Amino acid sequence: MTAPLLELDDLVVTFTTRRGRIEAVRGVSLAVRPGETLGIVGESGSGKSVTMQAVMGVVDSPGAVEHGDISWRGRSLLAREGEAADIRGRDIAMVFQDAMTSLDPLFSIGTQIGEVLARHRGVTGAAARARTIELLELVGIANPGPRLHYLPHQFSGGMRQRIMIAMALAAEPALLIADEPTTALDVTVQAQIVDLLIELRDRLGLAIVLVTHDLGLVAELCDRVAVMYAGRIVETADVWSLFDAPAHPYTAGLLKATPAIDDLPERLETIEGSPPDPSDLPSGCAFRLRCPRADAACASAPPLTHPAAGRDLLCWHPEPLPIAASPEAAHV
Amino acid sequence: MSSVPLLRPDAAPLVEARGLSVSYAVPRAAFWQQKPAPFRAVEGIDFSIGHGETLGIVGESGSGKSTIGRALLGRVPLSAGSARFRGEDISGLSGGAMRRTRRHIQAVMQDPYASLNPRMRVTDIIAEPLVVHGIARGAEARARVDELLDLVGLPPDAGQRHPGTFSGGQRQRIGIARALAMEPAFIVADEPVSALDVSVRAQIVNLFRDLQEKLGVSYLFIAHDLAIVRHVSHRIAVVYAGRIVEMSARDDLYTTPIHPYTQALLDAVPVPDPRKRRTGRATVRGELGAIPAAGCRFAPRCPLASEQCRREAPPLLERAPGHRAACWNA
Ligand SMILES: Nc1ncnc2c1ncn2[C@@H]1O[C@H](COP(=O)(O)OP(=O)(O)OP(=O)(O)O)[C@@H](O)[C@H]1O
Ligand SMILES: Nc1ncnc2c1ncn2[C@@H]1O[C@H](COP(=O)(O)OP(=O)(O)OP(=O)(O)O)[C@@H](O)[C@H]1O
Ligand code: SF4
Ligand code: SF4
Ligand SMILES: [Mg+2]
Ligand SMILES: [Mg+2]
Repeated sequence: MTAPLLELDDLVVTFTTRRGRIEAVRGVSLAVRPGETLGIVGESGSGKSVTMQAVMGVVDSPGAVEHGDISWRGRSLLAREGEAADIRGRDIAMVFQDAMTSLDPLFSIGTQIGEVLARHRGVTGAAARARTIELLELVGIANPGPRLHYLPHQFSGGMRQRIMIAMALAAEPALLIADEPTTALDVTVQAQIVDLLIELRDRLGLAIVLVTHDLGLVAELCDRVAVMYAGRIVETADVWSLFDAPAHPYTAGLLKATPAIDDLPERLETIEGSPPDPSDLPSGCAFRLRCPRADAACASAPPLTHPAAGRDLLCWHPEPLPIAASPEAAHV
Repeated sequence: MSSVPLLRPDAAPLVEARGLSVSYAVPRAAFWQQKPAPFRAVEGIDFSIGHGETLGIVGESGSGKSTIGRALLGRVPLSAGSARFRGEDISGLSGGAMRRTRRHIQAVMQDPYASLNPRMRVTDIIAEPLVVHGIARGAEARARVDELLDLVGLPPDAGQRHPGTFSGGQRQRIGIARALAMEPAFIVADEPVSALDVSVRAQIVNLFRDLQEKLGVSYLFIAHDLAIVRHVSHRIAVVYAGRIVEMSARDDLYTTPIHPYTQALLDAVPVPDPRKRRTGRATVRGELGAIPAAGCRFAPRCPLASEQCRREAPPLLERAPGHRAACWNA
């Protein structure tokens, strides 16, 4: 197995607010290898974005990494501030959840992409202009030349999203983190962006972390999936085994609650109850007040187990896994 | 899934839009420039909604879905056409008549965070329309609120709390309880579940169905998610660039789509099953917002576009019983 590009080790991120201390990320460990696409799914507020913000070093105040480490190609980003600033934005680029707020409304898109090229690639002048046009064409902006002067608001939502991707790619990163890159878009435009990501991955060997609510998107694009609930990764598996046989009751509930377009049961399956308040989590397993399998054991925190090859799990009473249904066997 | 059966399939429609059109003023780029022509957000929209019926509206971002909803709520003036409720023109109403009609038409909006006053207690938020319309006050209003909280599945003590102490799904329930307080016959639900967590989305969709079954409410249900729309609607209209391009009974749209945009929408829906992966999913390309001055508005992205399409806009015609589409070549 190739060495990972990005590694998180027991990462804890907290926010100290007037309402008290919120542990948004409570001990997350994960690894992303070259050319791999990792999906991160989970409840709203489960810490997906904050985890990735920590990787990029842009956690909003009053948040801070309180514990754990983040490393790039085996070297800690937290220990070496100067080096980390170069790696972030160049080797690791991120498309943020809200495209409109991460583009500067006052500067043309040509200027903004040019800035990335100058800072991370040392490309300026006519070469930068040519490269910018190339990048915009790559993400499917028609006739980009005359549009370099446009301000962000002069593009539609879907186009802005693609401009964000072009800007992230300008630095030629080895890892692209995309936080809900298609949420606001209609599915025809979403499909174009998914095609683009697949092409970049296959052509450039780009590694991708895709943060999303949309299990359809995960099924379409990802190799591996990490499921987050209340600041922890509760289950990790390759995408095929996860969809075939979710082991964590939350993962199972999430899959059941996602209606397929051609499957019309009388009522949709639901997960009862509501997501927990991050400043007031239940003790032990944070899912236990909503979990159909919970019992007294769940009042203490479940240990990390490996019920099958490539699967990590935090649960006392997982859904039974089929015996030896290895993903490779099913797939070659 | 069978939809909730229609209450009175033969009765006159509850809501009717005929040639409904809305334009927005476009600001000048600079004060010395000429005022630009208004932007025609939706044009020539025709549909009707029966008693206890749900009309789903789908279409891409910016296509005019919310504008249609706003027009039926009387929140934007029509530039042409009409919107009628029980035969009365909504936009033509004023004063008392407007208020009498408006109480039967309520809205549930996309953002459960922005649409509730954070300083009010939930009881007061839900009771407010009752008091404003002089329907109930005091103990009577409180009793009604308790009933409503129960109906939408919130705990009885919820009334004493402020919206900030509820999750997104619970806030959406508060919004629905508030809309139901007036016992409306018609609810405009504009992306009511888009902002919600996957795990609570299904709860709210089931609630909408239950309420229709129990109370016979009609809905205009606007959503991005084609699977959700299929679950709640009786009929569905597909909007593209301000026009209805296809409309049919729910299942016909999914099994026999006619318009190339509808087909592209359905083909592009990701399937939550990694074994059904497709490569090269995008069947239409090209850019959003490129709306031609003449002809079919979908032509720049359409795989079937021909000369005629670029010259003449296709009319919305009946292709099969209850199934209309606007396309020259499909
Ligand atoms: N600036 C902040 N101040 C205080 N708390 C914050 C801040 N940013 C995030 N949080 C808290 O951290 C937790 C994790 O938030 P995060 O944005 O990572 O969730 P998420 O999983 O990305 O959710 P979503 O799917 O809704 O985007 C939440 O409880 C949130 O309230
Ligand atoms: N107040 C306004 N002034 C000017 N233009 C507007 C206004 N409101 C909407 N528009 C424009 O009218 C068109 C239709 O907008 P509308 O909000 O109805 O779209 P929508 O289909 O609901 O989109 P979404 O899925 O993104 O909510 C868009 O091009 C939008 O930019
Ligand atoms: S540990 Fe217990 S409560 Fe938590 S998911 Fe597993 S069974 Fe459910
Ligand atoms: S009228 Fe022509 S351009 Fe428009 S959808 Fe039909 S084939 Fe395509
Ligand atoms: Mg997020
Ligand atoms: Mg809208």
